[in-house]
Amino acid sequence: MKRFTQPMGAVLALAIIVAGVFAAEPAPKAGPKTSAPKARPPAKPQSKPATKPKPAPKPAPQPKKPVTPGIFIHGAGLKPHSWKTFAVYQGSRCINNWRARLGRPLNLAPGEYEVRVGFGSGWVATKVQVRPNAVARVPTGLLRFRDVLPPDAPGAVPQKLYHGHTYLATRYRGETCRLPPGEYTVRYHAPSDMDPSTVLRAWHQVGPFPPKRKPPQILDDVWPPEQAPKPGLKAAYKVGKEERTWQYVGARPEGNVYPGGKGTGVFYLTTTIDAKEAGDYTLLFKQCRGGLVAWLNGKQVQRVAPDTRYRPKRVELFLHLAKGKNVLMVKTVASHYSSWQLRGVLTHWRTYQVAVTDDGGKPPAAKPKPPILAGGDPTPAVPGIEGVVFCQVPNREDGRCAMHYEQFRIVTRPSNARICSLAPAKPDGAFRDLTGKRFASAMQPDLSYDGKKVVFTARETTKKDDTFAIYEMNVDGSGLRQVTKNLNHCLDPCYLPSGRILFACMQDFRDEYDRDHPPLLHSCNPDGSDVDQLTFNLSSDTAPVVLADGRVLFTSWQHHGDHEGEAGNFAICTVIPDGTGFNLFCGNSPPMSKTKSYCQQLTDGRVVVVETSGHRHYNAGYLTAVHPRRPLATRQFLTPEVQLNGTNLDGRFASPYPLPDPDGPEGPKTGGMLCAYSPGRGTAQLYEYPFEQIHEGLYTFDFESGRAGRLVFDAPNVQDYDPIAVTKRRVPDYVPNLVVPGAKTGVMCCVNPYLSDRPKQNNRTVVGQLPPAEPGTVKGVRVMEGFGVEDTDPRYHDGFVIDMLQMTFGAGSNGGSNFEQKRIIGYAPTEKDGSFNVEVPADTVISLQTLDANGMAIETQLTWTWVRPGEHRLCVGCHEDREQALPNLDCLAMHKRPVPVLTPPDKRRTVDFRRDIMPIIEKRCSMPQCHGEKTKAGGLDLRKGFELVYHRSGYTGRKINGAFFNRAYESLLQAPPNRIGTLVRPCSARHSPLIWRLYGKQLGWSDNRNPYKKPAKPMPPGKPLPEAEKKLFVEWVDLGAMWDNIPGEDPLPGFDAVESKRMGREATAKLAKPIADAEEAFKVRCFECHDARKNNKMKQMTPDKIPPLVTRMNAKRKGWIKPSELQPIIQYLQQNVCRKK
Amino acid sequence: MIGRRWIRLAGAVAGVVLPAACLTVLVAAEAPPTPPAKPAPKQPVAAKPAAAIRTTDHVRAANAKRGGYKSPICIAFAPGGGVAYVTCHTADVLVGIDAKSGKVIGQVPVGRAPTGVAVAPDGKTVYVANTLDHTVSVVDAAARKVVATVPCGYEPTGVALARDGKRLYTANFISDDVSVIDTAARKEVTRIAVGKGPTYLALAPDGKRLVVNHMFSRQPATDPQQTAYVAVIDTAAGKVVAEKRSPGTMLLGMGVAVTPDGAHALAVHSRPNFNVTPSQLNQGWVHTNALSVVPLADPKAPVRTVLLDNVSSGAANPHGVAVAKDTSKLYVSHRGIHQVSVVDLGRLKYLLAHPAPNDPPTHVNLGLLWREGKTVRRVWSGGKGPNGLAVSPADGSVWVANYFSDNVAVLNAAGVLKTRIDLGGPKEMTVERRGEFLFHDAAHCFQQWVSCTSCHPGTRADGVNWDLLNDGISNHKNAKSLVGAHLTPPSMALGVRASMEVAAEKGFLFIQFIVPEPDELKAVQAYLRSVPFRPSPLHRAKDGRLDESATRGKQVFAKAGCAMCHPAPLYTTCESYDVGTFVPRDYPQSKPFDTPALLEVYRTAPYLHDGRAATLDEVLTVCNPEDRHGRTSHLSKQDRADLVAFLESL
Repeated sequence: MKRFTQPMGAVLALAIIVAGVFAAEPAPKAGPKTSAPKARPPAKPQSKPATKPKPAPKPAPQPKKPVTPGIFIHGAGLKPHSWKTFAVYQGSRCINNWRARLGRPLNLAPGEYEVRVGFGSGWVATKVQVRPNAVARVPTGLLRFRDVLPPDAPGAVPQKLYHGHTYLATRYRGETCRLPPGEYTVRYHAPSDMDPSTVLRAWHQVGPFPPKRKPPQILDDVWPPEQAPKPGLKAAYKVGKEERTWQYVGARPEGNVYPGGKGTGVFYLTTTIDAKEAGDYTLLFKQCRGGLVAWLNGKQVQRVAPDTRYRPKRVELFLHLAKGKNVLMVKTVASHYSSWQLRGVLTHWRTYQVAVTDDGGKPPAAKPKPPILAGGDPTPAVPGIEGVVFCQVPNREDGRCAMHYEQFRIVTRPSNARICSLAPAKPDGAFRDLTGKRFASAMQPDLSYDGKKVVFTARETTKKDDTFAIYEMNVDGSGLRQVTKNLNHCLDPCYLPSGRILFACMQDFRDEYDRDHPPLLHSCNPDGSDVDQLTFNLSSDTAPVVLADGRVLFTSWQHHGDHEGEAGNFAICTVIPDGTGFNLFCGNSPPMSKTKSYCQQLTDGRVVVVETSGHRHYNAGYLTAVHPRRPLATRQFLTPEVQLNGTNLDGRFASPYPLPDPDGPEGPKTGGMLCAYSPGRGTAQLYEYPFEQIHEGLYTFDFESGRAGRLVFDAPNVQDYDPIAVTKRRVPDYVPNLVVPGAKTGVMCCVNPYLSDRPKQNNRTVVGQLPPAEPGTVKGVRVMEGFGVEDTDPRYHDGFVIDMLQMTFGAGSNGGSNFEQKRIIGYAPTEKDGSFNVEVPADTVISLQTLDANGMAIETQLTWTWVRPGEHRLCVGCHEDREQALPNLDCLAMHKRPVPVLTPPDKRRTVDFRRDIMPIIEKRCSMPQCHGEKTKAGGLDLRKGFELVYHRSGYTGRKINGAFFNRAYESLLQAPPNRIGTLVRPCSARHSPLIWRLYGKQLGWSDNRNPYKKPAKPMPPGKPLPEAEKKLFVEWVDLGAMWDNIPGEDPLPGFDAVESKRMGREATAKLAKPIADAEEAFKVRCFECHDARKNNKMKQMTPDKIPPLVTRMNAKRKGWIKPSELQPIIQYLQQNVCRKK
Repeated sequence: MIGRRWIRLAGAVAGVVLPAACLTVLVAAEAPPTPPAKPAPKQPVAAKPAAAIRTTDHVRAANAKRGGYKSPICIAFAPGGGVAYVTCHTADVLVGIDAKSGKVIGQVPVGRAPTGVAVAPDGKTVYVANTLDHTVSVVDAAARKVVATVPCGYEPTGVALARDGKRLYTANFISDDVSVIDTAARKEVTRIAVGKGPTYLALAPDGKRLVVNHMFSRQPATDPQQTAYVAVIDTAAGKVVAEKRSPGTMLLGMGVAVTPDGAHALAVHSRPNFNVTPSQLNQGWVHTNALSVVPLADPKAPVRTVLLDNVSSGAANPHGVAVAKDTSKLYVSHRGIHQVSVVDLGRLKYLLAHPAPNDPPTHVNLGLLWREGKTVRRVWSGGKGPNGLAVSPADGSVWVANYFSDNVAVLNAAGVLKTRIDLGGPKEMTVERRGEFLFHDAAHCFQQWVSCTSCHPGTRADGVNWDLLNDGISNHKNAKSLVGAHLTPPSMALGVRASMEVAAEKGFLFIQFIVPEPDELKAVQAYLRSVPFRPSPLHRAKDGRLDESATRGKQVFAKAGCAMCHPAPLYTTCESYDVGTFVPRDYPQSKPFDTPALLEVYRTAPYLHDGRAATLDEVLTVCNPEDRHGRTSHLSKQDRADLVAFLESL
């Protein structure tokens, strides 16, 4: 995207200037019949508009001013996503499409033109008169979305802009859109307004594919539905020579459509919608690429052009439905790689009509930005606070900002930060460096509640080791003392209402990605004694802050899985300051892959969260706020102009900090805020943000505009961040420590494991998305312990096993990763009603699985959790809605004492593939006549032995990362050719076909959602496994189907850093060399990916199509196939793979 | 027209809903319990001398200690809204306030512990329910004096007046019935039996339906479905036509109002989760606080319950209910958190009619009312302990009686505090008063979920079994009354706390998850010590003497061996005995249960350590099969009835 260097205020402005002659001169107010001046080059008279645009002649060299008859777009400062296309029409004829020509001149003869301003899904037309010798201008006005909605409308809901029935764009509150004048409609809906009875999930594809040779042009098609569809009726009609049928499929309650074929096709859909009441509805089509025409009750309502350039994925039909049955017919073109879906959601909308008037093309007066550099600016100080304590990091010598770090990695923290103070809080206030000399680096200050002391993390200059420790000093820098001693790196300190100090302390083990030692929350006395570990996780828990109600809010990396089926994400969690009551607060919901951290609670109760890119190495981004009264559902964007993708309209925000309420504790809760802000706009994505452009200063935050407010402090060549308002703070509620000293256990109790907010009907086949347990199925519970990888363990590196497990069918979440070694603490039966009450070891990283009658996991807990000593931890259900209070259930588990599941650590079992499973396979399955070397019955190769197989991830492609397993493991975990899924679905034995074979029956997916259509054949034939061996298989799969699940040293071959690196190098070298054998070359270069993706396209191809295909693919893959291999591969394909002529 | 009618009803009747039993009234009747004879024998812990039991003199002393606090509790407006009448619960007066100027016009001494108040349609007469006198005072508003005192059922609390002013209804908390009073004759006409512990009632605009909210359940506490209900009375037939139960648990029902169209009653209550261990408070684990929408027209239509709490903040102890003048809103006062919930009735109706998919059912949904549409807002009540509230028919403002601040706060219809009218009580709280306040305060509790009164309404018990962790998990025990607990150490059913003082401290720590300041703890302890036993009105003549049946029962009491473990005056030895009431759920089996005092046994149902006996008769019969809990099997039916009568008179 071209970047423009206009003043900031002009960014929102877009002016299309239709210039007659003097573009630089103000338009003379000439009448329509003003005759052309003599100096004007010949042009057609006004009265006869040109049927063809005249090519622009070069400006005639005029003595005074050049004459350039024509038109050009003045595109400077254009907001790229505001408009997408600009087309000039004369009559019904498009004479120019300026989409790709922004900023370039277009010369036109005088006449009346229609300029269509396009928004991807639709366009708005406006008439423009090009007059000789006059500057014409496309009239536009600015629509500010803040002003459109009523004040009580939710801030975060998307507002959809329509012109008539044409959907134009979606904006959020605070955003703008420049539009031709006219009447527009803005609509939004609150999710709770949805009426479930009108949700249509499924559409049916009917009608054959037209022989696809060229992109279908549906706009020229005439396809009037002449008769209303009736159930069961098929009707055929002809368009030209082509006969098409459409079929009534009715309003089906659920299900997505997976078209049988691939590629682009035309789909004819019809359904009836039973509207409970007349009104405006929206029908959403997802993944609808390539255009759409819709008729409602025989009348065309929408037409979306097939736009291969922009590929609108979502098309919304804006329908006014009559009460009762409405017949909707849709014709659409879909082209998607594997599947597409049409999904209709009927929604009640709130509609607002807005009018846009021409504002003369002038941009709105830009809000004057505060000066970037501090100086003698007489800005008044921020009221209500004594000053500001904050953190400074000088830029690096090359001028780049040096303060970007992953919050859980100590090695990336700045090495030369210092803590400073400013009093009063204004740019010319007295500045002091509080920590500079003594500490090599000091950061993350937190203020005591009386406003007199600061606790921070730092490492000293003089010390030999570079360990960060917690220190405390007065706000004036005096009274410095060290708090934590002889611990690992300590980070993120924070005062507790009890007077203790909370901090995150690095652990001895490495995290689940083998990246670094994860920090976990600890607390200690003010003198550093009595260190108590509060949180237990295999990844990091950082950035604690105390909420007003006494809970500790912190950012937790939950690798074990989450609701969205991704493996790992940041969630904001809460815990009582004694470490009990671990609970999700927010963040474990879409949008995913955003880092959420550095929360602070404002005086009005809202919790402000910094959200930034998923890449997590720059901890500034946009600010959102959630309210504790509904933390999962009240997320609102505070800084709507900060974009993570595309063009960023504002800078970046970081480190929010609440300002005291100016009206006192009894007054209205307004909640001011300080923040660090780096100004600047740009087109770069956040993770590409140019570090040399980052210049963070301290500002107040203006909630009204969603932008930085008053400048507080900003020094040149230095990043200023982590501001703290020095003032007396309200002490949060003190929640007493209820951990029982000396206790070794705690209790976990679940009232009703069938209570779940997971959707009951779900077609997704990811393990994490399986439907909740059916009532009556839960018979037991398995308690598992997770443990981190010791530093000395060389087996884990670079994290690529996850690739294999994730890319294969259905693994990924729910701990389906090989990095989480687990062992079984024990089993407990559940009561008849499914409730359970188990006594488990305290202060241990655990996870629970509910089990069915076969002892197979139904649901796997999606987080690592723990109990503190003596804690009695209760859950309403399994994955219950966090807004669900307890139904007053008389659960049977509450009638009994907790069941002890307290196997001591040395007796806890693991199941390891190499040690426990492979011997059984060797004995029972991999005989030569079965799945052995020769036979490979059913295409399954379960070869014995430990010859390691290099597994290259299909996703990482040429990157020679891989893991090394034996053939049997690879066969079980990897999807074999021509099979729809893997035989083993990690963490879900009851959905693993391997287990079905062993038990001789299908166990999971009792309904028709089973993707494996074949009946489970009992294995081994005629000689079922002994019960104990079957159970071992089940445990192995439920624990994650681990190749290596033996903690610490073990004698079995597995990951060996040296060995796997060597093999990786060998594989790389092998791939770098040309392969002589054609079949081998085909397998290595093509088959490994294409077969893995089950793409059978080549089989349908005729030999003449092969050479261009291979050439094209090779070009795309940048010469992946060596030149000498190219011909052999083509020949091999033509002879062996593709369709014979 | 309907609106105007409604206003009057809302102001005069429904708005003045107020808890009776919850309000700790430090007053006792003249009739003392049996005077102290000798100190209880074999007191293992240094017991207080029996003389410490509060006699009438002590009660008077306690009254004096209250130091003239007003404790406004219920409000009713005169027609037109010119005058607001406020009952002052501990000052025993009815205060009139000029609504326009906000000035106190004057006060009229009425009976003891006045609670419910209603104004006649002509505005000339005001009716006040005197809870401790079991009477209704008829006050001449112009003359400012009581012109008649009408006896009614025991402990009348809420009152409701028919639109034509001819019939007055009182909810009688102890006699579990509704008194119907002919206002012309100034005489009780009849009584309609209702559920246990009726608190407040409201009359439909057409006067045909009377809705009564209840505090307690009639079921034994061992019933996991234990719940109170909302009774719907056909006033013409004079009987209960429907007992409306929430899909969740209903207990501690307080205020109730009827919508102006008469289609629904709106009742507030608590929703305790007593079936599980109360080891955490978050997510409404122990108590949630609910508003139930009760359909009146169709007897079979289900009650829809919604929670007033949200995910991280409870709305403890909802009390008064009033519908706004324009009927668009509902106001609910929360005594525990000193706030008023303003509920958008239109939005509530919409939410109930349009359940979202995959949402939890409304009666357990903590987020329902807090959606973006903002169905509910909470505003400051302008003082501490908001009880009754009423909507002015003149301007729609909301008047809130703040019990512990001795003021009446005036909020505008949107809930913004406009002014506060001081009723003139002392500005400083005595230790006992402060303790009473803290006992009723949930704002200090973790996330404001519960106050002490959430399980000990009026320092007594909610009749529910709770599984406190102090004696192990899974052995639920019936909540005990705290009245006189300081006289009968140890505390708790298994005596795991040495004294009431220790138990109070641990209660703060383990139930509310707070550590009270030492002076706060002392205040609460002092308050609990100051609460007198409230003498039973049952089976006693006006002068306090036992009636015939109870007199006979006293003989049976001795004969059956009851007095061995339940000797007067406290009717307990403070020892623990195994009386064969263990069930497998209890443990450790070796430890017997503490002997409870029998004073106030008439109001502490259900009985036994797990509340398995709904009535005293069940204690003597089905719950004592082996005669280990007194020799009761040989008693004749008459003897048993006499014994129960005697017990109820204690």
